[in-house]
Amino acid sequence: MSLFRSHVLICGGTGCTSSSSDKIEERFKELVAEQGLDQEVMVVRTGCFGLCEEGPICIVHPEGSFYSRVKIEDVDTIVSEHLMKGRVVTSLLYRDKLAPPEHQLATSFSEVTFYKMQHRVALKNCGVINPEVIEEYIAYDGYKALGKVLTEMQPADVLDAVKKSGLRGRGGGGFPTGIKWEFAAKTEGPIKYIGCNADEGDPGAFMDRSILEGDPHCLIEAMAIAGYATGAEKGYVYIRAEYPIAVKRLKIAIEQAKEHGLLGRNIFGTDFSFDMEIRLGAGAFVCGEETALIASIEGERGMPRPKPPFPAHKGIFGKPTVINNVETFANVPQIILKGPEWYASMGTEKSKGTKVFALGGKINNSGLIEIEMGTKLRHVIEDIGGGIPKGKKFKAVQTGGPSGGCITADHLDIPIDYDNLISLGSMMGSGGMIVMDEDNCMVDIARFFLDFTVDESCGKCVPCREGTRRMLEILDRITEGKGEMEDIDKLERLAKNIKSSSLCGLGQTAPNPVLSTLRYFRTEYEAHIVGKTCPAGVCQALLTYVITDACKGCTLCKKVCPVGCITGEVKGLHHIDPDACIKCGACMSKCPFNAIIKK
Amino acid sequence: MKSLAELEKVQQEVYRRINLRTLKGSYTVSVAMDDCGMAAGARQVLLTILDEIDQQGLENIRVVQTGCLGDCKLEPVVEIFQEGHPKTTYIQMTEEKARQIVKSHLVQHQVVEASTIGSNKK
Ligand SMILES: Cc1cc2nc3c(=O)[nH]c(=O)nc-3n(C[C@H](O)[C@H](O)[C@H](O)COP(=O)(O)O)c2cc1C
Ligand code: SF4
Ligand code: SF4
Ligand code: SF4
Ligand code: FES
Ligand code: FES
Repeated sequence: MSLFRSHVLICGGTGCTSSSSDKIEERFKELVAEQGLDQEVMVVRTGCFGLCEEGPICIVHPEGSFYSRVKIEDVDTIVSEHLMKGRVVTSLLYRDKLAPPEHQLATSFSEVTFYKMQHRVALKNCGVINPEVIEEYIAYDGYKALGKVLTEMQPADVLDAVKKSGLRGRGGGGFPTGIKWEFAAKTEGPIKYIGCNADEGDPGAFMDRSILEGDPHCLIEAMAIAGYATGAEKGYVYIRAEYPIAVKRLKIAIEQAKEHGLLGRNIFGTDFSFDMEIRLGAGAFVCGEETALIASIEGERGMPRPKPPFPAHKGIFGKPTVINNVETFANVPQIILKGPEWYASMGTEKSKGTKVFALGGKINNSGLIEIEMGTKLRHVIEDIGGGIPKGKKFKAVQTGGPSGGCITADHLDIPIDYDNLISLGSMMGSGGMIVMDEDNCMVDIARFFLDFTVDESCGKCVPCREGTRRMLEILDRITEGKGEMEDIDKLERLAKNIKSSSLCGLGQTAPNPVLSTLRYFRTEYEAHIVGKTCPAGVCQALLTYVITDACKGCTLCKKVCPVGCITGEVKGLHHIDPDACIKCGACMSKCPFNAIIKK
Repeated sequence: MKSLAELEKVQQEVYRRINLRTLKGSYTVSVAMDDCGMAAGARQVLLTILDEIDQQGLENIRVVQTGCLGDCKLEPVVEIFQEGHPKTTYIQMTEEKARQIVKSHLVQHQVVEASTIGSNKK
């Protein structure tokens, strides 16, 4: 078979698929066949490229031309111009607004600022290979680490390598992975299990989904390696049913691995056997907590259990178990192939390697990025993320999702690692990173996350079930202008109790968003309570409608006000009686001169 | 998969077929494929180059296409780029000349002077 001269890569991640990238793929295949190019041009469906907002994304290699927001009619142009005549269709290229003006057209994918500044390890195959073709994974070094481990290394060597790499859990806690594996390896028992946590409960995170969609074999390989290192022969992947593409690709991958003898009995001709099964979760946040996840895999209700015993001693079906996150696993094959020293050369003293973040909120480039640990937060937000839209001012960034906290402008120069984030009252979590600007009210943000945890609390223990609810009620009061100064003390007392007496991590971390906003934005709470104002202009109940000098006296607002609280003469400045106003907003949307504002 | 050797065989074979997605390329070969280039046989030249690269078992060569270069009577035009070297422009390519360029320029690092634009202008 001869070489294909061009490869058209079409993103098949969840984001781009929802904007019809599947139809675009079909159209490419149709036209390429029509033009008789099907032996010259390969059309490939890949995983997520990370810039989902710019989707559907299409990359034509070897040029690397990066077409974004591709519409079905654009496919004709790309085929007839680019593929037939070598003319890159510049009007469809992604515009890299962060590059100098003469380099903004993304003629070469690898030169785009958003990618150039990343260091991809866990995501290395996402957007490169077809996740449904095992040979493509193999071509990019796939299953080589498993082969090496099984034929050249003892289990103890594998444990050593993972320990030396400094890899820590990417699912939230940051526990050293090698040590976790060693616990399970040292626990005696004929049957052991490897569990993969693909529950991905943080509403702002989607890196696990992207790895599963873009590189599912990598997870299979890593779990088999973990099995060899710890003495387990069976793996369970717990994945939320709301990730249908990820589930489908993982199923295909498991089948292919079995067909190729990379799962099953006597892998690589050794006496090591490993098998895998998928368990679907209903998508409850608490099921991402490892003991709840274990219960759910066993078919019980997904409720946390007290620790100890730890999963390494008594996990799935009471057997010694290793539970790791998807991204944690995704680092393992390369640690084996490139060596633990290579991995440990990236990052900070106690946080090695790279981490994937899902950058979102008030940021120009939202998407999935992978950077070295120790990168400055400022670099992520300003250089990779491209700063805050509309020239607004940065206020804070929330890391760690509903269990984390916010980090303010004063701390943007800290290197990102587990310990620095904790010392600032936040945490790494799974890598959600939500940027907030001056228009975000921090009390409202805290309320948002607490509302989430109240909903997701499983109700097993009182401090979490009742305590978080009380805190939410207090926050509601404050945002409605009915707060009192002692509410702040109450919040802090409740938070302390909930943190210390909840059974699982959900309750233990639920108060964090409140505590951290209190720590950095106490004055904003006080403004709500004492001044009865919301400085960011978010909390509806605390806003007052005011007519500014821009008023031309057209009387329109006066006519629409349902309670008749606007006074003024024709061509004269109008005025709203703040006590009578019911804040319906009717006047504001009516004013032709934008003279009415909310304060 | 019974052995690492078997895996590596699959790897090498497939990698050569798909590596153009990630190659940096020690050489970049650029073929002009616009209307008159196509009319003069550029597509066949490009496919021939790929075929010869495949036969020679060469790695790390990027073969890209480009649009109009501006002088129709010189087509098919093939340019070869190598970092740190001036570009070489070959003109009026044929399948035969294309194979020769791969063997000489890409394998032995010897420019085929006779086919370059410089020697034809003299
Ligand atoms: C409420 C709660 C939700 C969690 N959700 C997830 C999750 O969605 N994915 C995940 O990998 N870990 C989650 N964790 C962490 C797991 O309990 C566990 O520590 C992790 O899966 C271990 O893998 P790691 O060491 O590779 O991070 C959650 C923990 C808590 C307390
Ligand atoms: S802390 Fe909350 S989520 Fe965890 S067991 Fe208790 S009630 Fe359930
Ligand atoms: S917000 Fe509604 S009630 Fe208040 S002044 Fe405007 S129209 Fe009248
Ligand atoms: S609608 Fe605007 S301009 Fe007209 S009277 Fe009201 S505030 Fe003044
Ligand atoms: S889903 Fe296409 S770039 Fe993320
Ligand atoms: S079309 Fe022939 S050189 Fe441009």
